[in-house]
Amino acid sequence: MSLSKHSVIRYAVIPMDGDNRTDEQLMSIYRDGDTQAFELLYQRHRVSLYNYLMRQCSDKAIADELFQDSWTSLIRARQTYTESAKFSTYLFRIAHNKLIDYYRRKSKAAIDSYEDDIQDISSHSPEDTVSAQQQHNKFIQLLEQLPEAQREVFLLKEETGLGLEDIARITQSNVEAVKSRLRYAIKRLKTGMEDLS
Amino acid sequence: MTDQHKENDVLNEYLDDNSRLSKEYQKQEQHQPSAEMDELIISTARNETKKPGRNNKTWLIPTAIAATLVLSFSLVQLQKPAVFYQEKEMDVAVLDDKPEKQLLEKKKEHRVKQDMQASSPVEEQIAAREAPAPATAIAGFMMESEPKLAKNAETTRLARTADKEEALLPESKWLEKINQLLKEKKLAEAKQEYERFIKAYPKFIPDTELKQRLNLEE
Repeated sequence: MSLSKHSVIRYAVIPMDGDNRTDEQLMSIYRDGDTQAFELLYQRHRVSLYNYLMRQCSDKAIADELFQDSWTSLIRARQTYTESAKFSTYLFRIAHNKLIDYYRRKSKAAIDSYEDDIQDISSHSPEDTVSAQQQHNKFIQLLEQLPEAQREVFLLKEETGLGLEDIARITQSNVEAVKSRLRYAIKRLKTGMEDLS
Repeated sequence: MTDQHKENDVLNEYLDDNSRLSKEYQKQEQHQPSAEMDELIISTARNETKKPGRNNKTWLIPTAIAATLVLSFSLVQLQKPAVFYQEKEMDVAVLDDKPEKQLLEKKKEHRVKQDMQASSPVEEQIAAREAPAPATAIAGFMMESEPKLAKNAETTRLARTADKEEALLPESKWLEKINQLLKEKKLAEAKQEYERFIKAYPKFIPDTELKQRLNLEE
């Protein structure tokens, strides 16, 4: 499967449901009471949101809980949604807040880890395996080992295809911080993969 | 090339979608929410739109109507008193929306009544005229439409001007006026003036000379 096809499915830039209406238009229609518009929106974003949560917390039960909470919050707060706000930014920001709440509940340590962008990765040295499957497994392992904040910006970039400014809005930080986190995340992943090779 | 530049190049390469990391990430198996989860969320979305309450906008129309009514009434209230105070000397009779003729007849009757009493001084008459209108009259006044009100006001003003000229002229000045008419040999006019004068001042006792000049019989 080519990258571009993946991108189309994952990013939902071009609606694959045959409906030309934008996410923002669908959300406004749902706000006025049309649940079919919501179903379309849900179909467009369910996979990317679920993957983002699943890879951030690495626990299916928690991911399910956060996923449900995020959509429920969006449904209940639909009256406050304005079409000027990008829908995916709006949705992922809700999910981001749910994740932060989850980290707070989980432990203080997780928060510290979230806030700590720069960590020594020397301890996560990859194993000397070079097969494609092993390489992919190593990538997943490296991704999981990233600090939450770095992993989050990477996941948001991959799952939503949003720009740095939108990611900054979702994570409620500034563009420079997002750029920095992403740079560190890429550096670690890249270094880890090169070491594996 | 510095490390910073190298890192920026890696970042730019990644942002341009040319990164090996992106490709590696896309290879991952996608996680999917369960069908039960899908059903649960969609049913929540359906149920929430059916719920009345905070999101229900049925209160908007009645509230808008009520607000319009309150605003309109306030504006009318603000405008009416201005006209009312401008015409505060207006007779109560005017407020009943009577034609000019009826109004003048009423005034005449009022004056005759005063003559019969033969005791009310001019100041009392003025005071009575200037007394505030009864509440019912004010309410009636408030209900009147603008054009009607303007017409009534004009009628009253004309009637009042004529009436006031008579009533408000002091006794000595009025007598001077009669004397002046007699000097000018306008006997008929002087007599008419005297008749009006004596109606306004019934207690006045004319001296013999005046009676003679006016050819009045004893």
